Amino acid sequence: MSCKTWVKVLFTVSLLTSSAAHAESGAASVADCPDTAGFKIIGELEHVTLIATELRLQARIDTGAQTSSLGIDSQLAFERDGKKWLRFSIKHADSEMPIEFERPVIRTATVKRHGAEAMERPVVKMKVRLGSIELQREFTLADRSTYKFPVLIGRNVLLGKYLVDVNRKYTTLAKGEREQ
Amino acid sequence: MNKPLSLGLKPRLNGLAFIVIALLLVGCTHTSNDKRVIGETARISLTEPGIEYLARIDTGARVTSVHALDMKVSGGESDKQDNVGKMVTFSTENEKGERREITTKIIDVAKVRNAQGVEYRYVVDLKLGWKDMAKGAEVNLRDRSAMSYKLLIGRNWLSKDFIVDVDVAEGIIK
Repeated sequence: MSCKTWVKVLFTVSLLTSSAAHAESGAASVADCPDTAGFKIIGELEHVTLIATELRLQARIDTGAQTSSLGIDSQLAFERDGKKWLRFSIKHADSEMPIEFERPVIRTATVKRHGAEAMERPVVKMKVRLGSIELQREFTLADRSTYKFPVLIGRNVLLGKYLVDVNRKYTTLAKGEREQ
Repeated sequence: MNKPLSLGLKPRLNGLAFIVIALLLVGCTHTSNDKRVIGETARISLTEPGIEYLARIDTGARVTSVHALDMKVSGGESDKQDNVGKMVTFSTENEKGERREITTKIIDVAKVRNAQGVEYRYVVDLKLGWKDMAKGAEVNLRDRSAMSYKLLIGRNWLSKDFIVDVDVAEGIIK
């Protein structure tokens, strides 16, 4: 095994040891997820914030998905400087006001579905915050009705940053709640 | 030059790393809920007929699902719900094309919603082994011929025992 692997094993073991100790006290918060080596333990469901709008949405953490996706309410394709762009809106569960975004379309993803026709979906880059980590990653856009949760976090977000524990839920706090 | 128990580090660091790991492991055995790290894919076997799959570890799926063909229920009725408690015999095949036949009791019928509408699947209890551990779980039976991974590990098998690290993989099926 390489040195890197061993360092990771060490960090993982220490992460698990400390998370077990915290679990006994019954608390689950950002403070319980050590930032050691940049790996944070998150649950099967989390809140994800779309940076710039501070829109905070429920997300299913899905190690079975390669690319993350976002459920949108409406979309309109347009051209800007000869490039394909998309204007789309996302409605927060608690508010009636849809929030609009404009993003260049990076590529189209072909989504294979068992027993159904393949679908073409636009892919855009979004800046998100999950826990205290901010990342810019590719998101596939699909009609909101496609998903049970507005955001699906796939491996392109998880890679190198998070470990998933399906016995946890909503381990991250909203901004401002962090200092207690 | 044979160096036993080398961690591939500089010789001086090797000893130190072993001490640290040993101390951490001792600490772990005293906690009741330490979990093992599993990757985005893992080599998992059905211990009973002894067949290994390269499985997809999917925290997005609630229940574990295995590839099942030629399902036959002894004394089976046409309504799946009426077959709970009866024995089902089916063939399963891994990604290498190896096949095994399994006979086990139907413990439930799961209603699964997907893009095509509603689908009903038989649920059975199977023991799944990974490395040195084995654990039983409810598994639903589905024809996964069109899918790359013939065994999908859902949250019901991962629960309480595993943490998923997508930086790790035991193989990838393109």
